[in-house]
Amino acid sequence: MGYLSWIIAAPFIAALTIMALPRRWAWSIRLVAAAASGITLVLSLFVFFGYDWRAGGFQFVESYEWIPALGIRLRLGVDGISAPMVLLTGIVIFTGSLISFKIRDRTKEYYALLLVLVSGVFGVFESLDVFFLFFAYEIAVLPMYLLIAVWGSTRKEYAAMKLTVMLVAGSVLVWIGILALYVQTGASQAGISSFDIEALTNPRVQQLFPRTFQLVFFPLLFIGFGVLAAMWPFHTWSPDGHVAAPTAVSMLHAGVLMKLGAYGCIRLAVGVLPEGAQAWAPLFLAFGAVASLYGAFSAMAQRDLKFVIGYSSVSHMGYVIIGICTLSLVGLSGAVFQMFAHGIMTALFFALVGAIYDQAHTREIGIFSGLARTLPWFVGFFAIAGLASLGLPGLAGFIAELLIFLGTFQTYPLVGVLAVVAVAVTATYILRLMARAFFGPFNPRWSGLHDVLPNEWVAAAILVVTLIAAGVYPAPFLSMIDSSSAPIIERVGGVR
Amino acid sequence: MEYAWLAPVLCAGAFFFNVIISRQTPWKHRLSALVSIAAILGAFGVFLVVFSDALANLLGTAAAHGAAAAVDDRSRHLLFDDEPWFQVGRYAFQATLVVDWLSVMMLGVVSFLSALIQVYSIGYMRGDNRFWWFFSVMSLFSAAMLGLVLAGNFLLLYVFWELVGLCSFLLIGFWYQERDNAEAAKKAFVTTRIGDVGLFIGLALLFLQTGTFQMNEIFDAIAAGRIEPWVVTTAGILVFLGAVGKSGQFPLHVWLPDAMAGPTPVSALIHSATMVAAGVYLVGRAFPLFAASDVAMGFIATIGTITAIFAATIALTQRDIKKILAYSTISQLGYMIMALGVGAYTAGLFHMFTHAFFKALLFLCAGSVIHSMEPVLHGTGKSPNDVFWMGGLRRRMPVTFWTFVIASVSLAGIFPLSGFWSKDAILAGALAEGAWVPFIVGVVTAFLTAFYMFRAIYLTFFGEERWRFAAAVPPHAGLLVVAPTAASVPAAAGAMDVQTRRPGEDVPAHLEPEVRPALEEHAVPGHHAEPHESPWVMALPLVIIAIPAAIAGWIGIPGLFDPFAEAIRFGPAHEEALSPVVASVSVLVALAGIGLATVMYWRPIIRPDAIADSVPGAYRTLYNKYYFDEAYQWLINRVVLALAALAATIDRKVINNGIVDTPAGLTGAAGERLRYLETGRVYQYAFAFIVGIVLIGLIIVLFP
Amino acid sequence: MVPLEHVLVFSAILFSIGLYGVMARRSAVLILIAIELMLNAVAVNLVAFAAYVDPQQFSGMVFAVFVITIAAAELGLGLAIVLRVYRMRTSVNVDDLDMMRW
Repeated sequence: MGYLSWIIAAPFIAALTIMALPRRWAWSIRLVAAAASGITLVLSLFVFFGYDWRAGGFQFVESYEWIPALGIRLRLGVDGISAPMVLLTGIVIFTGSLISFKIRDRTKEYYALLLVLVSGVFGVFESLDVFFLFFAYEIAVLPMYLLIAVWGSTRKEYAAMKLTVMLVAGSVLVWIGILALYVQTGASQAGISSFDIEALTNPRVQQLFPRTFQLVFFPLLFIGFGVLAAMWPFHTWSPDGHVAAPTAVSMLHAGVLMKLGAYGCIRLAVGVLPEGAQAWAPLFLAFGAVASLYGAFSAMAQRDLKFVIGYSSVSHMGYVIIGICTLSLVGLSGAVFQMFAHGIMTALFFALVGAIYDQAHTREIGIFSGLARTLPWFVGFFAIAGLASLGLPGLAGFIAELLIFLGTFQTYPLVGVLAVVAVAVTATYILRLMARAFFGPFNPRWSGLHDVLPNEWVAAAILVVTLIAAGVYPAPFLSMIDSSSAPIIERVGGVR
Repeated sequence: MEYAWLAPVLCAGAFFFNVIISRQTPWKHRLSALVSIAAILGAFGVFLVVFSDALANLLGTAAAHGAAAAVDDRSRHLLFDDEPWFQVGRYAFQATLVVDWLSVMMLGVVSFLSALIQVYSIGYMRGDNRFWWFFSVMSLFSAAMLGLVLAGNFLLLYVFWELVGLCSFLLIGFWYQERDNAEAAKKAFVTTRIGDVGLFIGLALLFLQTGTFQMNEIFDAIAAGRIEPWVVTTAGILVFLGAVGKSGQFPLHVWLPDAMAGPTPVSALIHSATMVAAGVYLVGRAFPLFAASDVAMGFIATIGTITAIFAATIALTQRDIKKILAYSTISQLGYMIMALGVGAYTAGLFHMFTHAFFKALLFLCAGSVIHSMEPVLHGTGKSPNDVFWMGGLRRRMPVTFWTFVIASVSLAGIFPLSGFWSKDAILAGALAEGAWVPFIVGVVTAFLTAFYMFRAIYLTFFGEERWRFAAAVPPHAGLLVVAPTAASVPAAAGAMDVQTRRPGEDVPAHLEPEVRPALEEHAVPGHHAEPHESPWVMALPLVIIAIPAAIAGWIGIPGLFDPFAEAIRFGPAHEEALSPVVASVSVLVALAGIGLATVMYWRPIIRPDAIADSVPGAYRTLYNKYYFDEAYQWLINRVVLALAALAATIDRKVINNGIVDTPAGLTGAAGERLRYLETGRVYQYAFAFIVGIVLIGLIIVLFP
Repeated sequence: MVPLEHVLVFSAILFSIGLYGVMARRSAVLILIAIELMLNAVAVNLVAFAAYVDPQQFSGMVFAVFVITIAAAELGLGLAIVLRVYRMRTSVNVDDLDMMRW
């Protein structure tokens, strides 16, 4: 087994171990979870830094027989798009495990589900086989229901059900699309039905997808995955889900799961059906543009901290959709980098909101005032997340948005203008939030609140350092992303 | 010269050192101040090295190639250092460092003023429990500004541009416990951000045309005509919007006066060398872009002209000493932008150079005054910034007084102080370009400038010691036209309230004898703090800055000694001798302004309230700053927040409840109806099976 | 050899009797017996087709064996449930067992 299979296996084995531990050993359970996610983080760092972008293509490839009769193999590998995603997942699950130390209710089941979910996420990012990708995708989506419905808050049953139903509906579309691809590859005379992603993008196989076929199945795949990427107007599960979910689940969900959707859009929809992408991109681009502005405005009207961040995620994922749909190299690279940057930033947001909610038992922005005086670390970390969100240079979000905007200006200048305006709106609501809740006269009601705990501090510091490092020196990310975006753009015939 | 990058890096290093290490130590306040000041002094050292290198380079080229060659070389870069930053596809994004005379000048101004202001802050911020944080952010601020002036790539410039905005946000909101300060900080950031939208789109347009953010390549492309004219014009106007936001130009000026909420050293820094200078610097830096489009230049000149006179009129009526200075800054920035817009490149930047010194000095003096007024007015509910409650400070604060006067005279443009030379250069430039409207506006503004500065001087340093009876007057504020005097302030028992006195009413003469003793009695109850000169850490920087504030202009004496115009210019140098007509007009006008202030506020021959009474509407409009804040507030409440509420409502009501929850509800309702099919009778189920099988069989048979 | 048709008719009669039993009876035990009849009819069918149509192959027989096995398992489970129901309700009349409807 190589790095990649261990990355998938480690959380899964940890989940099994945790199930075997007695319920009352809560601290051993936490430590096993933290250790396992720490191991995956180290492994994903190895993968990230071990990826040779000059060589490009899929690396660390592993291949195992699975269901040979149906042409299903368990093939793993990462390219320049999935390597940053693997790193992102490693960082978020490690920090998420740290943050979750305070979960007291059914600790064992909580960690087991969380780790199984993460195994699924890694499976999606690492899979080179569409069948396994879908398999892992479902593993990543379904535990979410239990995690929200059992450990959540604020209309948790409603949110959990809505989230699950919408995501499953999306995955039905995806499944139809995947089967269509599979059947279509078998339709030619010498063709063997295949789930292999590399085979599907092979020029000879690509000829098997006629234009009508692409036009019909591209939207199925794109919308199907787009639901998970909170693409407007299929986004409403996302604010509710984020609000209801417990802290670490929100982190994983907004930080990583939404990226699964965008990743699927890039890898399968745009990557395999280029003609469909050309035809449909303007529509989805419009969706993305609407989402970015509309999400920002909606965030401005919210009173609940988590809703603000939830809508801000809708807005930021709107940029990702825009970036993908520009079908330009710069835009697509920006979209992938934005997936990474937003994942880190939003994980930081949710970690901090959780830290305050657990003490204050409210997330109403208007109730807080002057927190900067007593919670300097909390406010400092939150401010960095906020500044990353409004695209401050020096933090990762800026580079990502810059590239997305440049890509948009290359293809649809007017949409680019709208997107830049959305950034100004973002600045407004982030600063309004901070000025309201953190500045102003100190409200003695909150004198009992303590600053971030050591485990939360470590988690937040990891995320902040990542944001700054990726913002100041994005070159490693971008050369990697670039090397793997280029073939996709080449197939689509987009702006290079 | 190769080490110019050290200047921003030193300051940024100081920031990170303070935030990560200093704050953990028990003597964090001292250590962070020490580190920050050491770093900025280091940056000043870097400037000195760079400057001497540049000078040597200049003299060297002159010696080697003769005067003619040197003239061409001087306008080029002294250093061009191009480091790859990141790359996407065929686009490379570089971190480019450029040193030319413009950046050398800015490097000097920023590091010099920043260093002195930080020294001054040791005294001003003493005892603040976030002293260390103040110095840390000041370091980051300096770092961002130094990086900005060295950037040779528009993207890099934009990076530092935003960081400057961030630091000003942090510093304006330094005393965030006051709700107003937090609001002011937010306003500054958001308003400048609106301008930045334009800047970013403009830069993106240029990028699309040239595929690069490198300034020299973009300028070359413009010069070679490789960019379509309409793009140059559009991009020029959009890029200028960034400067409008940062430099507080009309109509995005509203953040600047509110930015006074920050500690006064911050105001000094923001208003002289950093934040607002960044906008003017950008116009200077990207001048080849603007110069290529007459429309863009006209736009710039118009905005600058409007701003210059508009802000000067507001400054006439303000009572807060820092706001007077703030509007003065806006007006002077308008002056610079106007000069650049009419094509007087050197004059505009020269004014930025001289203005930085005397405006920094004015703010530091104001800070010194406020610092000493604070304990005096403490507990009276009066703002220590209010000039109406000052007065007579001349003898109590002599250093502050004299430096303030030097700076004011310089700002008013009286020969031979530095402001005279730069203002004269602008007026002469406008005239030379045939721009009559800017010229006339410039002259009128010069008059207004001299007037409001001397109004501030007389109210602050001359006349009665009005702070003595501040406590006797109830704190609620009415519209006060004229500073209270002992004669007009009633006893606490109050025959009438000066605060609510309407223009035109006077204190009844017969009351005066009764009022006086009551005043003496009520004067400053409870404590006997009196204004006093500030400690030497504050006074010394005043004296040091007073020197360049007075004489910095002497490096731009046309026809006599004008190295500034030699070094910083656009296109070929053209020698212009001092025009005696323009010079005498500007000085006479300034003297007239001073004279008017004298007869109104020192020797009250003309009563200010009489003037205000004659035009009450105009007075109110000016006092309320043309109601711009109100208009924007209305826009935010009624448009932006309404849009936000609309989006949120649509999301909940239409998309969530309509598109998402309705199908879910329909599914539930269908189940509600259909569940009665479950009768619980097994044989009925079996019967349904059979019917189904028969039907399917029939279909198969009938439609093979 | 008996013609195929005879066997099929026999199987159809058997199936119909079972079907009638399922529909007409109220006793759970009798319904189970009727279901057994139907299953056996299917098994007879399978064996008949296997023997007549494709004697070389045994797939029909194998299916029949599967059917018998499953029938046994099903009967075991079914009777167990009926027994539990009888314990609870003292009746095996399926008309009484409607607490799960709606």
